Amino acid sequence: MNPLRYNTPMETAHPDILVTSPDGEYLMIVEVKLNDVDIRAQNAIEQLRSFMAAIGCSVGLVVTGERVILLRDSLKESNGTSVHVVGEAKLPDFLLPPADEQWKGNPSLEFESRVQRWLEKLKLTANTDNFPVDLKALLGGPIIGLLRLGEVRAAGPRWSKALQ
Amino acid sequence: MKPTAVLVETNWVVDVVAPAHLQSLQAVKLLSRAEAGEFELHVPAVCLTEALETVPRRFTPRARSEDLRKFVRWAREGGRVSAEDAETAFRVFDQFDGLVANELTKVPERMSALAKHPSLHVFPLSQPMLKRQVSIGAMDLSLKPYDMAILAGLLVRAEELQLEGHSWVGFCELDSDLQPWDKSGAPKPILRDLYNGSRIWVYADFLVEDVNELPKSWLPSAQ
Repeated sequence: MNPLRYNTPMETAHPDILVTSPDGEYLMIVEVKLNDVDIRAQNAIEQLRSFMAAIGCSVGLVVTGERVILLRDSLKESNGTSVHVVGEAKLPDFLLPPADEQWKGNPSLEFESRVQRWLEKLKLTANTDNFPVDLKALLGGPIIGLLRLGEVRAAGPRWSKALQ
Repeated sequence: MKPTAVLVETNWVVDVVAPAHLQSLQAVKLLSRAEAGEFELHVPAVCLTEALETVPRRFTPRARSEDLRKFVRWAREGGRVSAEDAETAFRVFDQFDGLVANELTKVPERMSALAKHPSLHVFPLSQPMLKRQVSIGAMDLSLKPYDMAILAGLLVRAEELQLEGHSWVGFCELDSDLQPWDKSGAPKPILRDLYNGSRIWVYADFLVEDVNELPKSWLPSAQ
């Protein structure tokens, strides 16, 4: 049987990684872009902003290359206008674990996998000792608390992206 | 391409009958789209029963407003918040506590209205579905019996819908146990093949967006 490409919408971008509570509530969504190019980062922020509003998730992370940007929705509005950028920090490459073997050869998926593994490790250890100061300030406390509460998952099938 | 029939299960029901301020806009919109004739919406009846148990457990506030009330009282006494602002805050807390309690009592009524909604097709588990549950039960799926029953119901329903003229169907699934990919995004081969066999396209949300590319055999011209 041919492999199918599940969930590959044509128009709306979707997050790459989800953190969900045991009840299935969205605690955090993460958009990952391999390259740190301003225009792509800006697009990623806008995409994440609209998706956060659509699914009612108040915390979002954009990871573009070596940059991580934290978004938060004050929930004052329901159309995404109350989603604001809290801040950004450098995400040094050495912090990211190696990618899952199955995504080797596809740089975008490898990077997504590395970011997911980093979040999973952070959930387990809650250790930010080797983080640069700005990253520790950005992600410390509440964000790590959310990670510890939830499960870190791919937001959709990565194999379908590999086929594209 | 979009499906002309869409399947949902318990997580959609929960999001639709939740207390008003916690309902999922996506989930509610899905019902409106069915109402507008964009697609047929189908749900196994057993999911309504399951949702009745889930809603109070999930939406009863983890902590009512006590922590916030203590904070506002402390802030007012320390001069950090004006007496007027504190009074407004306490009025909002009263409204919140009352609303949530009241909303949760309305769940059975809301569920009953949903079950009768003219744009929602609620189907009972039939004998062929129960038989399918036995056959997929022998596969190495690691699913709970309840999920197995829902899966069997959805597979058979999708096949029935094809006989009624729908060339394929969508399935909106937020529950990771029934999604055909694992936490790393890799396929769960058995589940994927079951969905493929019944021509079910699985979405990870309630948006039901256009699909780039369907298997050729799913398209009406191939039949």
